[in-house]
Amino acid sequence: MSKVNKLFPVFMFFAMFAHGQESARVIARQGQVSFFSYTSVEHIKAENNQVLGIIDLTSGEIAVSMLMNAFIFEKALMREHFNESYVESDIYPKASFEGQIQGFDSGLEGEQTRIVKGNFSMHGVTKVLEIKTKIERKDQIFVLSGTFEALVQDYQIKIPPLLAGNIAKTISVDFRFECEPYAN
Amino acid sequence: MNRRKWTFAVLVAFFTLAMVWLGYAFLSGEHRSISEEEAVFDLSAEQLFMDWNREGGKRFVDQTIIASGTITEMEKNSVILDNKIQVNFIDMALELSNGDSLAIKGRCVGYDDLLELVKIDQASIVN
Repeated sequence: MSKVNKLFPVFMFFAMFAHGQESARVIARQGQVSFFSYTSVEHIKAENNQVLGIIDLTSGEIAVSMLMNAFIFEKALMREHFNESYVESDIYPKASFEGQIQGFDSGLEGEQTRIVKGNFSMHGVTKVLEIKTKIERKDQIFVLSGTFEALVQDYQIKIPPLLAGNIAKTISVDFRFECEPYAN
Repeated sequence: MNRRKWTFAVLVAFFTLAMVWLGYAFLSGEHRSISEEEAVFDLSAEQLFMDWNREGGKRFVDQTIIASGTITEMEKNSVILDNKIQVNFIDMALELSNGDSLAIKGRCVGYDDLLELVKIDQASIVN
């Protein structure tokens, strides 16, 4: 019997142990992203409660994916304008973010504030974003939350002059992901 | 003559009110009530997933769909059927568990290519 074969069960034991100890990825299938547009004419608020977020706890990599179609507005007409004219969700159905949590310590119990840096894509435009994010760990649950601002014109969203007064140039975006261990 | 003027005034007032009401109804716009809508498609989770991947999902997006399958995963008020579709219920408190078979009616939102799932929201249970 070779040395490798002899060591194999030992290796397996450690591999299983490491796996059982802590799952390497956490997931939120019902992450929340909402945005606000405040102008003197009108306040617009929309919420998406079906945002997917996955974090790799060892590398600190994070992936977020959301369908534009899933935003809920106060008025049905706002939703229609949003999907049909502004983000054109039939052509660009989703927005995504892929990045990394800088200096992330997944073993830290409690709260830590970190910068998440990565590429955010929406409406066919990709931007590098650095988002200050609060990360709270309670046992195996990781809650990520924060706020950032996005310029409408950065994403080539065209607003007709007639409605320019109704929609803010800077949109404030809030997010919250409650991530649980991911089995697969 | 006077009477004619009055009739005219009343008509104008009525017309204006009607316009205002119509304008308001148009601007506020009713939200859809998916649970009361007639389903356009009725298929299994597996079938929906296969059709979506074969021919693209444009014809399903924003449509009311009845889909059936077995719960393979759960999170809050969201369930995954046959590892193929993710269903988000309107109702927050549902007494469901892994392995339950059910048919749901909801609105097809789109496809998530990160987990490879078709997504349905505003769902209610039909059986």
